Amino acid sequence: MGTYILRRVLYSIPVLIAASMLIFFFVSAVGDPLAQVRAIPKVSQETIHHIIVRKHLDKPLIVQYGYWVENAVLHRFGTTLLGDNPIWPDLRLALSNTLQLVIVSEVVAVIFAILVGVYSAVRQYSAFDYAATTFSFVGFSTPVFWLALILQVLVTNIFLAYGIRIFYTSGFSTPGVTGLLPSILDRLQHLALPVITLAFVSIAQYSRYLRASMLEVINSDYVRTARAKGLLTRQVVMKHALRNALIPFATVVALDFGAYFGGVIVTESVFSIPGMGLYFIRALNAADLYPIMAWLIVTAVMVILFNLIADILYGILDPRIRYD
Amino acid sequence: MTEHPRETTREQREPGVTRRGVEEQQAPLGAAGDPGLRRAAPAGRVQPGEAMATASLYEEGLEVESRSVWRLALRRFLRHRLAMASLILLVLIFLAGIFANLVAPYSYSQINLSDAGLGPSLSGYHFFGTDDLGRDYFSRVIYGIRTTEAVAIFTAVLSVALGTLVGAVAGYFGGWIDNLLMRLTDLVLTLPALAVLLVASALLSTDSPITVSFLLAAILWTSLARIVRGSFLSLKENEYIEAARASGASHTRIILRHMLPNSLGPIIVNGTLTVAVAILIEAVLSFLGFGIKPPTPSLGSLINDGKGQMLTEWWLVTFPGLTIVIICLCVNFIGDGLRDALDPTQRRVRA
Amino acid sequence: MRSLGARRGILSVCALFLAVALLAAACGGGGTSGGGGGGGGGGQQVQNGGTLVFGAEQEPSEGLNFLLVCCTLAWSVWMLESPTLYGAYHHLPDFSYEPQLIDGEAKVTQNPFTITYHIKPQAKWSDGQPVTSKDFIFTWKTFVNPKWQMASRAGYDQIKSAQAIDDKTVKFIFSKPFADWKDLFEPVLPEHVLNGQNFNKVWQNCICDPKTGKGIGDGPFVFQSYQKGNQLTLVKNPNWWGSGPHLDKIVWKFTTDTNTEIQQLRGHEVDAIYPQPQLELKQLQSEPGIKLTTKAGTTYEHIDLQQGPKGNPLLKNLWMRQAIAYGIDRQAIVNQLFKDLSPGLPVLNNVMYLTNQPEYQPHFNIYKHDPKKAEQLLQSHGCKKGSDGIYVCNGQRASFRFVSTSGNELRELTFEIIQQQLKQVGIEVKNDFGDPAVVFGNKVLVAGNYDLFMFAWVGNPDPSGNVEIWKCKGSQNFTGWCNPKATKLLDASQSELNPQKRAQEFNEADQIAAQDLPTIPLYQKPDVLAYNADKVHGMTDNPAADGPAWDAQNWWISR
Repeated sequence: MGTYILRRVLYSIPVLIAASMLIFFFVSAVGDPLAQVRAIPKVSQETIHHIIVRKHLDKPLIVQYGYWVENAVLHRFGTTLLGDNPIWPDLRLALSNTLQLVIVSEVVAVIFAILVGVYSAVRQYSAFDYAATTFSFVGFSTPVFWLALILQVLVTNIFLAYGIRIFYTSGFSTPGVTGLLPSILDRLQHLALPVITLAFVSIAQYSRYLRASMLEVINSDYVRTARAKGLLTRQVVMKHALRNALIPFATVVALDFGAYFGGVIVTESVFSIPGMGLYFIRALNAADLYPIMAWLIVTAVMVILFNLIADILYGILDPRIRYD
Repeated sequence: MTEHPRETTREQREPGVTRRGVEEQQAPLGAAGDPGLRRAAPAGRVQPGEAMATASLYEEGLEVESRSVWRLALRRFLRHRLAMASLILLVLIFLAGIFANLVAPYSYSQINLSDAGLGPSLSGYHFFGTDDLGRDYFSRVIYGIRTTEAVAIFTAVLSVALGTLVGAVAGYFGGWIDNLLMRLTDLVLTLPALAVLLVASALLSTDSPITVSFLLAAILWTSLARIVRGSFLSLKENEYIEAARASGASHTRIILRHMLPNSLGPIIVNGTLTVAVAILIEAVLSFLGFGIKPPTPSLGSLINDGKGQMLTEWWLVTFPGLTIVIICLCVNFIGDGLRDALDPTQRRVRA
Repeated sequence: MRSLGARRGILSVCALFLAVALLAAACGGGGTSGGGGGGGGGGQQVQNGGTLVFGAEQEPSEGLNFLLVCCTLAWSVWMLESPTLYGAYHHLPDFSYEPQLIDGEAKVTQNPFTITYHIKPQAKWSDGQPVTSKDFIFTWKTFVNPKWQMASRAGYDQIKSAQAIDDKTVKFIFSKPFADWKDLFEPVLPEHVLNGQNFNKVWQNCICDPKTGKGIGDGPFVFQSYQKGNQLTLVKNPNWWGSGPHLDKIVWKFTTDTNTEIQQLRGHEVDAIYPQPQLELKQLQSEPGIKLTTKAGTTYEHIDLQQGPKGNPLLKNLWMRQAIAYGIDRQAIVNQLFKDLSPGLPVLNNVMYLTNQPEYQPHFNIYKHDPKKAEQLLQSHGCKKGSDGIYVCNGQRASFRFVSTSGNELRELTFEIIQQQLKQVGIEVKNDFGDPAVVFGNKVLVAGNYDLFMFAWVGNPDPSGNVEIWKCKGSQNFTGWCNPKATKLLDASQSELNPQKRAQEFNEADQIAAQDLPTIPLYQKPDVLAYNADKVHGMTDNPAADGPAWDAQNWWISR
C-alpha cells in the first residue's frame, strides 16, 4: 500500500506542474491585471510603476513563472497584486467555509441517497421506485442555477406570506447572533438553500448508483444462496446487500467530495457564500494571477487527495483488492 | 491479462467516477450503469445475446454476426418505450431548432418596444410572452434551441472523436504511449473544469458556438477515453485480434475493423449523454455571462437575461429553463435506453 | 456572472467603473446639519438605538484602506470614508462643496498659491484627541510619501511646504495653482494614531488605532469589526462632536449579486441596498413597503470612437463619426432602459459636466436622431449601399467592432438597440464584448484596439479628472483624439482659480469635442437607493459620489 500511495503522489506532481504552467501562461498572456488601475481617475503613475516592479510584470513570462513557483513553495503562494496581501489566510478561510457547505450537503445527500436507493432496490418496479427514478432523471437534467433562483424566490415569498423565516436566501450569518447554539442554528439556516441545491443533484446521482449496486448484489448468487438458506429478507438486505453496495458507493462519494472544492462556483455566487467559488470569481475579475494560481493548485490537490482516499478506501473496504 | 490488477479495478469503477469539476451539474455520464426503467432480464446477468455474439463471432466471422448484434440492440431499444417517446420528442424539438426561421413567428432580434414585457398569450403568437425590448420570447427560445443544439451536438461529436482516439491509441499500443495519454487525462480530470472554462472563455472572448464547443469538448473527452481504453485493453487479449495481427493486418485496420466496432456500445451511450452535459454546462457558462454572446440567444443566456425579472416577468426564466430540463430529460432517457440496448456489460457486477 | 460577481457583471463592472472617485469621495454631513435628525422622519418621533443592516455589493477584500491603489472601491468610500473619516470639505447632493472639518471656507491666496484652513474647535477624534493642524500636515506627508501606494497624489504633489500657525490653523504653500483644491484633504488622517506606522498595511483589516485595535475616526460612526466575506460593522462614535447619531450600529453585509440583494431586501434580511442600476430593480417598485429612489449619478456611460491606427480607418473621417452619432437614437435608448427604473433620466450632452451641475451646457444635443441625415452624410462621401444593406465607402465596408464588457445586461441591451438603429442607416456594428480584465487591459482599451467602445467613466463634481482623458496624448486618452485648441483650454483650466472662467474653459473644450466627436455620451447611470420604508427613516442618497451614508447620523429605525 505504501509504495502504491507514493507512486500515485509522484504521478500527480508532473500533472500539477503542467496544470500550473498551462494556466499561468494562458491567463497572463491575455488578461491585464492593471486594467482596473489604469482607469482610476487621476491615478498616480508612480504607484503603477511600483506595482510593475514589485510583481516583476516587466520581466519575460517564464521569469515571472519562476517567481511564482518561488512564492508558492517558500511563501505560501505569496501576495496579491495590488494590495500585496498574503494569499494563504484568505484562501484558507474560503476553504473552511466551503468545507462546511460540502460536509453538510454530502451528509444530507448520502443519507437521502441510501434511504431512496435501498428502498427502490428492495421494491424494484414499485411506485416508489418509479418516482425515485423520475426524480433522479429530473435531477440530472436541471440546471443548478435555475433551481437556485427559483428556491430564493420561493423562500422569500413564504416569508412575506406567512412571516416565517425558514431559511435565508444568501450570506453566511446574521449580524448580531451570539451564543453557540443560536450561531449553529443561524449558520444552518443560511446553508440550507445552497445545501438543497447541491444535494438535489447528488441525491439523484447517488441513489441511482446505490440502487444499481444493490440490485447487482441482491441478484448475485451468494445472496440468493443466503435467501435460499432461509435468512430473513431484511437481514439479507442489511448484512449482505447494503454492505457490499456501500463499498463502491463510498469511493464515489470520496471522489465527489474532492471535486466539490473547485465545483461550487455557481452555487456560492448565487447564494453569496464566501467560499472557494466566490474567491475564484473575485480573483478572475481582478485578473490577479497569484490568487487564481493558488486557488487552482489547492483545488487540484483536493481532487488528487480525494482520488487517493477513494482508492485507499476501496482497498480497505474490499479485501479482494490488493495494491502493490 | 498484462494489465495491472489495480488498474483493472479502476477501469471497472470508471463509469461511476463522477466529476464534480463541471459544477454540481452532472448528468449520468455512464454513471452507475443503471438499468433504469427496463423490465427485461434482471440486472447483473450477462445478456444471452451478447454471450452468443462473442462466441459465434469467432466461428462464423464478423460480418453476419455483428449485424445480428445490432439488430438485437435495435429491438431492445425499440422496446424501451420511454426512450422511444423521448427520442420522438427530442427529434421534434431539434427539428424546431433547425428550422427555427420557419417555426418561429418572429425574428429573435426584432425589437418592438411597444410590445415590451407582455405575458404569454395566444394573441400575436407570443406563446412565451415578450422580453423588455418587446422581442417575442417563443421565437427567442426556438432560436436558443438552435444555438444550444448546435453547441451540444458539435461538442458531443468532438469529444467522442477525441475521447475515442485517445482511448483507442492508449489501449491498443499500451506502454509509454498509454502512460503519457493517461497522465494527460489525469491532467484534464484534475483541473476544475468550470474554472478552466471560465478562464478560457473570458480570455478568448468566445462568441461562436464552434469555439464554445471546442472548449467544452476539450474538457469532456476524458471519461470516454478511459472507457474506450479499458475496452481496448481487454479486447486486445482476444484471440481473433491476435489472429488478425498474425495475418499481417495493419494497426489502423485492426483498430477500425476489429476493435472499434466492439466498443461502439459505450461510445454511443457516452456520446448521447454528453449532449445533455454540454447543454447544462453551456447554460452555466451563459448564466455566468460567458459563452455565446448576444444578440444570438442560447437557452442559458435567455435564463440569464430573464433572471432579473423573475418576480414580474416569470415567463422569461421559466420557459427557457423548462426547455433545458425537457431536452436533457429526453437525452438522458434515450441514453438510458441505449445503454440497456447496446451496453449490457455496463450492468455487470462491479466489486 | 452577470451579477455574480461574480462575474457576474456586478463584481467586474463596479470594480472598474466605480473604481474610485477617490477625491470626490467626501464625508458625511453632520457638523452643519444640526437639529437632531429631523431628516425624512415623516413627522414620526425619532427613535434612538438599534442596528441597521445595509446590503453592500462590493467587498474591499484587498484591504480597507481606500486611499491605496489596491482598495479604492467606490463601496469602501461609501461604507468607510463617508461616515467615519471627515475631510476639509465634502460634497452635497447638489454637487456643491460644503466645509466639514473646517470653520467657514478656507482662505486662498494667489502668487504664491496658498490655502489656510481653520479647523473647527470642537472637532475631535473618537479617542478624544482634538483634530489639529498636525493631522492636516501628516495627511499631506502621507500622500506624497513614495513608499505608500496611494491611488492618486494629484494636488498634494504640488504642495511645497506647510505651516502650522496654531493647533487649529494650518497653511499650505503650493508650487503652482491647483484649481481642484477643494477635493484635497478628503479625508484628514489621525496623526497621533498613524505616525510611524506602515500606511500600506496599517488599515488593511480595520480603520483603527493599531496600538489598541479600537476603531478611529472623526465622523458620527467608527469602525468596529470586519468579518471577511461576510460583513463590516460600524458603531456610534462615543466622542462624536456633532448632532446624532441615532443608530447604535450599521452593519454592511456583503452580497455581490443584485438579484440576491433584491430577495434579501424583500425578505427583510437587509434594511437597505444601494445597487448598480440593473433592470431587475424595477421589480422592487411594486413591492409593498419598499421605497426606491433614483438620481442621476456621477458615472456616465459613453461610446468612444477610435481614431488611431488600430481602429477602422473610416472612423478617422468626421462625416463617418457624425453618421454614427445621427444614426443612434440616444433618447430612445434611455427611455427603453430606464423608463421603469428611473423615469425622466436625461440624455447626457456634455463630457465635462454632468446634468446635475449648474455649469452643464448640452453641447452634444446637436446630434438628434436623424437617420436621413446619417445616410446623406454617407452618400455625399461616396458610400454605396451593398446588397446586404450596408454602405461601402472607398472600398471599405461601414462595419465596426463594438467593444464593451460582457455580463452587463444594460450594456448588452444598449448594444442590441444600437445595432438595430445603425442597421437602418446602413452601418453594421458587430458584438465584440469581452471580459473586463481583457477589454480594459493593455491589449484592447489602452492599446486603442477597437472601433467603438462603450464603457463608463467615474465622474466627479469637479471636472479636472477629464483633462487626462481628452487632452492630446493624455495618460487616459485612448481614443487617439488630439485637438490642440481643446488641449490648451484643458491645460489652462488646471491652474485657473476663477470658477466662472474655469467652467468656461471646460465648456469650450467640450464644445470642440462635440464637433470633433471622439466620443458619444449616453447617460449618467442612475444611483439607486432602496430601503424598507416601514423601518428605515432619514436616509437620502448623495449622488455626488459620497454615497448613501453621507449623512448617516440622521438615520434612524422604528423598533
